[in-house]
Amino acid sequence: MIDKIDFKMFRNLLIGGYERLSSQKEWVNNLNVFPVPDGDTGSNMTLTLKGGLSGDGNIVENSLLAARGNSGIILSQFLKGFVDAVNHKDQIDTRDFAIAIKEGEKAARNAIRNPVEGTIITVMKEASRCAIQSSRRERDFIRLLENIEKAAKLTLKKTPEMLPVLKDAGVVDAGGQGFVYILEGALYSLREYNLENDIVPHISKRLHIWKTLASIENIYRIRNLLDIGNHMVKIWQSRTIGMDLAWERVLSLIKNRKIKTIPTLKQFARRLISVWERKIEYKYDVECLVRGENIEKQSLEEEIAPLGDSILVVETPSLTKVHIHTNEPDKIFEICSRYGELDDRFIEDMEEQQHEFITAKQDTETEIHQKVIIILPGDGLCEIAKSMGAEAIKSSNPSTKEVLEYLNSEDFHFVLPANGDAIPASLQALKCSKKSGVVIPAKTIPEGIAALLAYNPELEPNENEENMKEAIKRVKTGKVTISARDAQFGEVKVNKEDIISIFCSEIKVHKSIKEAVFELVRKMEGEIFTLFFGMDTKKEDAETLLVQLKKEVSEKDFELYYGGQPFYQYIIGAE
Amino acid sequence: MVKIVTGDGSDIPKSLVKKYDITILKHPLYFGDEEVTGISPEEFYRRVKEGEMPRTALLPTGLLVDTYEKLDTDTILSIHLSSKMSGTYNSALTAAEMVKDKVKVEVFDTGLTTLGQGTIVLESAICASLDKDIKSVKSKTEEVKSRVKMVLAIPDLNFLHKSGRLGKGKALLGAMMRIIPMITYSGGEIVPFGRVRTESQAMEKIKDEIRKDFAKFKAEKLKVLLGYTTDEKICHKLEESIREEFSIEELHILQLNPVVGVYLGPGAWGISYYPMGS
Repeated sequence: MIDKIDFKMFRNLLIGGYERLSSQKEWVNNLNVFPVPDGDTGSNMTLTLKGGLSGDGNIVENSLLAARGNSGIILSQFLKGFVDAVNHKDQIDTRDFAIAIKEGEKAARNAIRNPVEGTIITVMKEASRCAIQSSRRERDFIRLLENIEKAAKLTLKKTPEMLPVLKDAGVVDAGGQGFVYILEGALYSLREYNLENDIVPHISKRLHIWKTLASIENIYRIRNLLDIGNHMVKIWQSRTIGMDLAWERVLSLIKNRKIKTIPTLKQFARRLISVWERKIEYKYDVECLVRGENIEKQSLEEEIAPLGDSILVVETPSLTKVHIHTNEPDKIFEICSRYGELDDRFIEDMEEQQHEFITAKQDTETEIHQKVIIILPGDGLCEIAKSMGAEAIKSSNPSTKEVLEYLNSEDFHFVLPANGDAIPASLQALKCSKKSGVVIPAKTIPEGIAALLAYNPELEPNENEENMKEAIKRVKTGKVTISARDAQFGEVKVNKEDIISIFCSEIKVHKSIKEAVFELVRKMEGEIFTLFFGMDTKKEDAETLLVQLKKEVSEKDFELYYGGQPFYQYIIGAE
Repeated sequence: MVKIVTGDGSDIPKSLVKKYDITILKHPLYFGDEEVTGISPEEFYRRVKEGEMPRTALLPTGLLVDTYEKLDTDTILSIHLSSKMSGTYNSALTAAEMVKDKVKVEVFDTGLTTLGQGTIVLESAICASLDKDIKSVKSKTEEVKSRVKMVLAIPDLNFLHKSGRLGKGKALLGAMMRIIPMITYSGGEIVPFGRVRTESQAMEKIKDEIRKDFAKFKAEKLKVLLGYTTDEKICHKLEESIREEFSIEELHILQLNPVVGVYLGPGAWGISYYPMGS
């Protein structure tokens, strides 16, 4: 019976916890959907423990310094509370141990501004409650830890009931799972378990998958399992990390006979991904240390509170660690610097992290499909757009209803009006359709085409949106037309039938179409000029003009396409 | 010492092949039924421009077995192009199995081709030349693979299309306007990188990507390979442009091997870069 432990033994327990946790790090990462699904809880907790155990032996200070992420900081606070409670003793018994756990739990809870039940906090709470109760009669550490571990595991199982986001994802809380692993590891080392034997051996994962499948097949006589297996093996082979979670879940569902077909499996995968794709409200994970005596923790906390969430402010006598999810990292540092000397500044772009995590998980079949719809006034232009993968609406100024007809799928829609007047109808249509999508405000035909070229089905919708908007800025548009009536534009008087050029709202009257085009080419800067000739322009005339341009402005590139637009003899894009 | 073996689809400057003692095996190359393995690039592209259709084949298992057995070492790292693009990786696995009693051969799938594969081979060979053991060399190889990026601008995608290796890059085909299609690799397969109208837009797009990767890996400097099939000028322009902005550890410009040219065709060019540091 082990009825007393000293500091060295306590350290051994932590080492056991660390080893167990680090062997399951990826698994814990995969569970991570709360507070932000960035898939790093396992890594963070592991790093925190590792930091605490390395160096000069000051577990509390070292783990606080090494702490990363919410769960890491909570863990380091737990350790601080624990150690502070027993620091004055050489040896502790089960009662001291239970009280220390209680203190650890209190410290961890106090570190968080808004403790949420269904997380590691709840698991710690139940573990400490059990510790206190059980220490009243148990003198043996092994029995005590067994009870605590059991209580923690039971609570962990209930986390999905307490936190809906976990239930949606079909997972338990990642931090809670990490804590359970630490308890397990501690128990193992207490029993002098050889951890190396306990870790799942590195046999081929594929073999493992096949064997399990075969046994399930035999038991349930379900067909299609081979296909599911193929599917999973394919994902695994493509070096996609972290499919363990999906796989384990699939296995348990198969065992419960809930999944029998590939479509159900896919549906399940989509559900997982939809949770992982939750929009991030605050973009940056910010941490720093503030050095200095007597820092007013509460006032600091209150000052940064309006700027983000997941706030943690924890302290030792000489330093304070601040953690927050925010959109204004600079402001946070500025505030902190007023309380003491700043150190170890750390900013992480969670969107990027999340993005990496998600893309690593996605199989081709669960990608979001995207679709580009462009509004163009000529048949030639529409053909060009279609050749580049867009759906084209032939119209100068479509009604909301016309656009609406194209917003019929579950895809993500990019609507390119390619005409300033068509922007309102596009926006209205998208709003009415309640489909997901965005209007890229291309005001001219060359802008619309440039945006379409910038679209890449391989990218995420938000990246495409950004690239398409950027592309619009790179292109300039000039037009040649024949005035339909007499008119006055500022200083310029235009008669009916006059040939005019329009560039940047500057209007000029010309003697010939050729002169108008040459004038535009001179004014619009660019390397490559793309001319779309309209329905009223003869092909031969356009081709003659192209030859003249190539000859007389030989340092530039010119390309000519049939656009088929009404009113405008030529629409010219320069980029 | 670990020795590095690869195919000549790895585009590496000739001087470095010698310096780091890299064994490069020639993929068989044909015009019709005529074998022209080892043909000079000039001759090769001349015949392609005249309309002849070239083709390649994977590295024969026999050649790999011979090479593995004859190399004066007990450990070989055999680094190959994407197993999704070629059966060479599998040939190498078979060959490695056949010689396992004589020499230990580790076979590595780069998931890339040409310049990207070249970067991985080169960095692995540099590591091996420092007398590191196979474990360290392989971890270097993995590390480079996780960071290296290759982008190719291919004016005429038909060569790749006909080879059946264009994959998702097919989205770039069929444009009725003249565009420069750009591709990159993801998961060992070709994916569209973008379509641009001009060379300077292509260069800007590449620099944008480098900027992103620089930030992503918190990189300090780059190792760069620039390659072309027939037109060297664009590579020099690109060199000038990236030297202005990024700190360059090493940069080489080279003409791509004909076995790569089979798939890229005349006028193609590209970059492979490896963000280093921290």
